[in-house]
Amino acid sequence: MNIGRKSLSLILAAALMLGVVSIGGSTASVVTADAADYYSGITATKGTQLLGQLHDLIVGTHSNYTSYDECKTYASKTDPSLDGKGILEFYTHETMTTGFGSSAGILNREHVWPQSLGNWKTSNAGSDLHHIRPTETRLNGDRGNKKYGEVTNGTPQYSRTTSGANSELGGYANSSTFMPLDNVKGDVARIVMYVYTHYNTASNVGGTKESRGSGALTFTRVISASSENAAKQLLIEWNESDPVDSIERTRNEAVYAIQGNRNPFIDHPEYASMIWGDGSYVPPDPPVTVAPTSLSLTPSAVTMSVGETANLSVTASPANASKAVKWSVSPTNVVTIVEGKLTAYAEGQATVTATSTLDSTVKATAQVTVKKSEGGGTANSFTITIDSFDLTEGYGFKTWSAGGVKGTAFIFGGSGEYSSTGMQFNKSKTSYYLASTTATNGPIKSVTVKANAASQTDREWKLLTSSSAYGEVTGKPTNGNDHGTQFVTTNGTKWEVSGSDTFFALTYEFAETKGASYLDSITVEYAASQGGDPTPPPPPEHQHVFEYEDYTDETHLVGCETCTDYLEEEPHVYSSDTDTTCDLCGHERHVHDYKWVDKDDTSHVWKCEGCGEVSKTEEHIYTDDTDTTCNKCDHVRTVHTHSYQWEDNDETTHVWKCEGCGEISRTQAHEYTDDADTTCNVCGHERTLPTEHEHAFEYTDDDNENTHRTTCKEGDYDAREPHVYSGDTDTTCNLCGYVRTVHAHSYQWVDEGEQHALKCEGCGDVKSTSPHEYSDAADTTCDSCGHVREVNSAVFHEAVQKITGEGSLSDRLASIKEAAEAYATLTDEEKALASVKKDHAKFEEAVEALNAELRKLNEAAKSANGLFVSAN
Amino acid sequence: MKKKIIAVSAILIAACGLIAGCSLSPEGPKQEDKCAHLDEMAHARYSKIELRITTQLGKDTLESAFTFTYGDAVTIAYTVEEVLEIDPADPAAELKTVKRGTATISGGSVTVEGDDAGITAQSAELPFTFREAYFENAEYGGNFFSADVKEPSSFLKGASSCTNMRAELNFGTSFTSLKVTYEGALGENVCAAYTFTA
Repeated sequence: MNIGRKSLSLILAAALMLGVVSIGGSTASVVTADAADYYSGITATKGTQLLGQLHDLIVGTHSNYTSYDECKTYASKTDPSLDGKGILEFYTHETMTTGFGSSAGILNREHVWPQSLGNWKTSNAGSDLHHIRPTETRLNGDRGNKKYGEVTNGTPQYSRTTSGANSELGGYANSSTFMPLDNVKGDVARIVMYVYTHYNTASNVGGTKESRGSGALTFTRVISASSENAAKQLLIEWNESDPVDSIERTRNEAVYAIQGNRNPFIDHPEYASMIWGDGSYVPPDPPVTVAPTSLSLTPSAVTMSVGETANLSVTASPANASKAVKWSVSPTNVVTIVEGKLTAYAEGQATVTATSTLDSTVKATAQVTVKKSEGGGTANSFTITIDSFDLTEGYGFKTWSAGGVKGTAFIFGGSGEYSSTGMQFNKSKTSYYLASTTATNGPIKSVTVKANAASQTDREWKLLTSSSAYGEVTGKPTNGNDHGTQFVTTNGTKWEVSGSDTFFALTYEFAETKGASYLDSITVEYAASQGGDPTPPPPPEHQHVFEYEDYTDETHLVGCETCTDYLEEEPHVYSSDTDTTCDLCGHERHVHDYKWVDKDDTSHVWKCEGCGEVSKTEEHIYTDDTDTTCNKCDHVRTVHTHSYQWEDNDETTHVWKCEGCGEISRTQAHEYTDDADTTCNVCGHERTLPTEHEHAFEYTDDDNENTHRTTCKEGDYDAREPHVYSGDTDTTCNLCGYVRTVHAHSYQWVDEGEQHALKCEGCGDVKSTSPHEYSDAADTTCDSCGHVREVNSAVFHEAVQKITGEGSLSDRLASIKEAAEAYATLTDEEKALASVKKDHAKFEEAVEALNAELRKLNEAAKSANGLFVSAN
Repeated sequence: MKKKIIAVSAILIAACGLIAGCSLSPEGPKQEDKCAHLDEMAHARYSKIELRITTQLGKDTLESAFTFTYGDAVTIAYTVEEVLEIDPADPAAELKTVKRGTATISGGSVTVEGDDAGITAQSAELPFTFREAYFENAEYGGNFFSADVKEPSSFLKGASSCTNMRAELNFGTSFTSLKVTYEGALGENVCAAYTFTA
């Protein structure tokens, strides 16, 4: 029936009001079916209770703590670039192909929560893959350990090329705060919240399990905010303004596979609001999942009897592609298909088609053959194939159902596909029978058994029929009417049956020399029940005919043209990222086509050519100071080239000045060849030299004994200069007339003890000094000054010095002789002199002391000789 | 452990006895004096022994030289230096004088030609006794021996007042050279140097 093309929107609105339809599934979270199990234990819905459960969950499931080195190793898995050619740089999202290192243009490992602001180095939190992100080295360094926060009029922060030039904009910063781009703020917020939840002291977050390397953490340590609440608010704002994207989802799955835990704020971004906010945030629905590139149906061909059912299963490629399909059948009067379940309606052939809901060009088909059933005047039949069995629990004792009849059997499906091996009746004691437990609608007329292969044609089977059910037995049936044994064939071996039995059993007559019996099918024909028409099959279920109506920018409504029972909101389907038209509803979308556009003299913008939306702004980028064309937007600037010249500045200096703009680079003093040179060798400055002037001196006697004042009449000379006399006797200065007193010296030799001096009797001026002079050793009176010396005391003094000194024995003997000889020459009077007597006495004492030493030496030598030679 | 040590000691002692041919005494096995062979050589007969004794006190040194010739009789040719005392009024031309002479020892009597140097009949014998116990810090070589003499008077008869005595000996089958040094009671340093001719 056709209800006409009503607006699906109106239908949707009505359905919503009636509460009969839910839109888009049951939840707005982004988890996959597998990840949903991960959070199955989270029962809290808000605050610290929720936070504590999340803490215990992500700590408890963190089974593999990666090393800091492994952060580099796993980067290709966790951070593949969007174009698949390298690694995704965290802040700029550019593709990096240069690997990890410490130079410009090369990747580094960014601690989103800096080490210095946390409780870690390069382990535990410091090497958690959910935390560490690949970042260009220079941009990483520029961010340093700045806190995250909002920055107004901040300095653009760029990644670098390997040559050190600016590459891509990664954020803005001031001296203390770093602000990532809008499309990274959410990423940062969710990483910060993960680290806070995981590595905080358990009691601080309501948890019970202590994390490795845990310590007290507050958001204000990494977020620039006036308070902890303000920091939480900023994180919530960033989390909501930049929703989870495919980069984060892909990353979350990759890290989960490595570490064993997940970032709950990526899977459930609403948790942030539930824990630290008012809990009202509902994140947007995730985008479509991976569309398959191909589909296949199993089985691809089905033979059924009227009234029978069968199931088709969908396989999608690649493995992570969506298996969601729309079923259709043609013609529609042979079989119906509902969510993969076939119901045979009438004899004939039909083609069942499964179309991917994400890509309508991807389809798979299966061929269905329906045979008529026979009974009474019209025979009914059903065929038992491997698909008739309930094989959900592996092989062994099974139930089967075909044509409305049920039964039991003990079969093996083989280790692979059941359909490839058919029904395998193995040689274990109970595994070689098949029997019915419900009655056919009429007496059984024939049973046909087909072997799976020609090699199976030496297997014998026996048919039994009965009027009562064989029951769910595990042993080989033996009761009933025995219709004999036959070898089965690939064409089918048939038992003709008469009578009114409505139950049957087939048993494999196993022989030790033969192996399993593989059957392709068992077909049972039975007569229609007496006195009535065969029971008609149920009417085919309604087959929706889908229609699509553009609904929102992201979704369209899907309804059925012929009924009102189906109404779903589904995302638009596009063939590619550049496809602008939905394949199903024709919705036209705008795909931004960004290009760099010159904005002004200082900047250019990343602007969509179509809608004019500006995504980001950055400064022009030039290769060097002489480059006039921006490398990105071709903005042309004017580059002034200085032309410097030396220019006379003033009397003392010249400057290095640009002729064009007047900029002065440096200043120097004028340079002249010599004192007579008047022209500067550098700038040509002309100087005035002082003129030669002949002084007219005047001398002033100011009664100074030694000098007079000398001045020039011109006033440019004034100095003190010594008096000038013609000679030593001249008493008047030749210049100023000063009169001096001239003294005539009268020098005499004067005894001054150890020496004498030539001294002026009048003024005491000493002209010279010298030692006393004697005629000979006996002379006691100095020839010059009359100094009287003591006789020969020195010789004794010297002798004593020698005797007690370090000289040899012969030297000492010589000085003793000298002293003795000198003493012998003295007169009695001289000998009586006190000094002579004193020194001579010392001399004698010294000699005696020496003699004592000599005696000791003799005694020592004698003793030695006596020891060795026993000499007396 | 103690029993083990005693047992090992017993074995070593027994082995020593076997190797050295010592007889076990009630006090224990007798061990050969390491210097026994040196003492034998000290008391051997040599054809000639030359001895130079240097006595140094302060800055001054005196030397004596003796040459012992052994035959039917022993002749000792000698020179012995002495210093003369100085008269301050009339100092002599020289300070040292030398005694020279030859003493012949035969049959226990001494006949002197030249200056008397106090030679006695015992002068012909080497005055040394070599016992291991008389020395410390000894070095025993195949052809040399050197040690500090810790019992001077036992080693060199009459040397009780000598200190820091040391002996250095070279030998083969007999002595070749011997040097004995010491510090005397007067502070002198004495060195006696022997040269042996077998």
